[in-house]
Amino acid sequence: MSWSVTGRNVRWSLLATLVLVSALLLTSCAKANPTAVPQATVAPTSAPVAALEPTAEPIAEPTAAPMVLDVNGKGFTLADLKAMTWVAVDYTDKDGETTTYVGVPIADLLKAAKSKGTTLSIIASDGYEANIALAEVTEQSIIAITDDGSLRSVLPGGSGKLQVKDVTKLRAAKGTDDSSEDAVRLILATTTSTADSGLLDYLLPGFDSEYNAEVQVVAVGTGQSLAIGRNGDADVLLVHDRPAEDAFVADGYGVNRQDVMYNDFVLVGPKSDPAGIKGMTDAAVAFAKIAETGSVFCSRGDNSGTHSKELAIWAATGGTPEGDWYLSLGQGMGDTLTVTNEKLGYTLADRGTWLSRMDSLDLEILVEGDPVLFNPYGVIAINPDKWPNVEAEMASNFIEWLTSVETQQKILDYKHESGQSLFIPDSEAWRNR
Amino acid sequence: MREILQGAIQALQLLATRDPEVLEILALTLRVSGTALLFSMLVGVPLGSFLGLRRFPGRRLITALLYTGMGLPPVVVGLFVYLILSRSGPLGSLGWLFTPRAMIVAQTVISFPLISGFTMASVQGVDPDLRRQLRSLGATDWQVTRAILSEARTGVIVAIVAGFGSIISEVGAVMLVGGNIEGATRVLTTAIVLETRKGQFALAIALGIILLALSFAANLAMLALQGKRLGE
Repeated sequence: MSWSVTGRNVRWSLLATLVLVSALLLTSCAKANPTAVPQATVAPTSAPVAALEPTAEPIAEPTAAPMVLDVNGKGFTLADLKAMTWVAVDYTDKDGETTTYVGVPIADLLKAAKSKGTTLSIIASDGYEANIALAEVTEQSIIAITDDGSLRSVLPGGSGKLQVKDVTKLRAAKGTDDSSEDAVRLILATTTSTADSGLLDYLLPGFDSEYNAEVQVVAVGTGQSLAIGRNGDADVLLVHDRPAEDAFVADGYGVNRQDVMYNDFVLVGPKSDPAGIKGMTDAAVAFAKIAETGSVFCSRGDNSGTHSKELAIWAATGGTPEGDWYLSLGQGMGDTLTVTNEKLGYTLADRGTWLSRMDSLDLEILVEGDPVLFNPYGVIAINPDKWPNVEAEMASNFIEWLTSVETQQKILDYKHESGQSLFIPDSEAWRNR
Repeated sequence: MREILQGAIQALQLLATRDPEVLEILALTLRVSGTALLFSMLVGVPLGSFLGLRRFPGRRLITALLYTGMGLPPVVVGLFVYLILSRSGPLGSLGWLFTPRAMIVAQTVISFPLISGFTMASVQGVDPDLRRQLRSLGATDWQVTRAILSEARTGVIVAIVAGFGSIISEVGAVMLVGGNIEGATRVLTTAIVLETRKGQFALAIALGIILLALSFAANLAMLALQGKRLGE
């Protein structure tokens, strides 16, 4: 058959054009709002995805904390404010009464917190919020320090609703007054146990609203979390494998490692207990017994913190687990418990996941309380010297917040239906409280 | 077994009450897989028709590569995309990892070999005499191509359906490059994995049933297209 030269050219250019168009579509998609992707044409389209997460109620400021004002996530103590330049302004209220206030110009505060934007939200301790265009904020607009030590905004010439008593936060934002608009996206790579237990869902909204952040949780094993961190793909890690964490920091990938909390591991198995280990207090002896009797043991096998702990206990028995009875699953804790249940085997589980799953399982705790079963969690920020794109400042805010006495108390208060705390707070601030 | 029945009931409940979380997951699933399908159609159908119609050196090699691509394990595609979009990878500066965009890229890579492979096969299946006949009647190249594609439309629709099926049900790649982030990159398949891991089997089944229903509706819509747009 004959294909003309021009025909060939036409076809080639047609193909090239199509590839170009797709490339253009991809790039234009990149420039748009991160969540705005062209709607599908083939399937019945649905309504646009709503805002990512409901904005939680601002949580109350700790009474003991020395921070009195929060400007876009940067905290100021009373001493900080006193160290700044003060001005005196006269404010005449609607009754014609004039009062003189002294305080720090709002513009100076925003500059000190490196905050920019077009609108300003003035937020009071009770959650009241007043919004104003930043262009209307003058040198006379101040945060005044009243005689009783509380803060209030004074904007002479502004409407009454801008004169906010008991101010605790200032938020500068671009465009609208929607404070979620500028939220910093912080990627937290963590273990399945913290995410599946529901602890993060319970804690994180408090951080998001307090720091105008949006923490996005990538729940994988400790091994994968550390790998993601090593590649600079997360901003902060919450993991449990102390030797690996220390190596991570020593290798220069992480900074600011802090203790957060601990839970413990439990050795669970079938009620029939073929290895006869129930009530033992030494985990290594119990493991040795399981190996000796050749009872089925399900291992996570996924380089997670739980898996590392399990291997450490096997090492303490002096032998290596091998044979038909030892199943390395390569799955998360929940899946491993499911398989263990079906196989009527033994496994090492973290207490949090165990508590949340025990109702659907025919297994029971056989060994617990051995100090070797202690499971400490640490938080690590990714080293910004290694990966300049990470949200280092927000990561440092996160670590400070997570280890603060206030958040630690919330961790202690997070209880399973059975009344047991899933995690025991253990940060330095908590221990020294 | 009990879980399956519970799951079916729960699926209806979730849809009837317009559970906001499920709707959000559903919308993201459609958005990611729909956009990926659009891109892979834009590349896959022309490439498939070209390979089916033309003879040129190296065509066999490209075909073999394409067939290999049709069998690529999604998790391997995910790993490649992850390493490329990682901050330590060549395109790390885009900041696409753990966003729906990374998922679209991965799904496009998974579905386009299927679409071009099946398109190629169906175009090749068209009677070669038709081409000669059209040519003798003085049709231009563009007209011949259009006529052949129209003749092969059933095969092209099957190609698109196969491409869609491969990505709407895919979990390994989107889990890896999306991260299954609640409210941001959680789609039906990754939500099913999560609920299974949490032991919420009934909810996992419910989401599975919703996924099936979604896939069924999408395929019905595509079959309706088969009758109209291409059948001149």
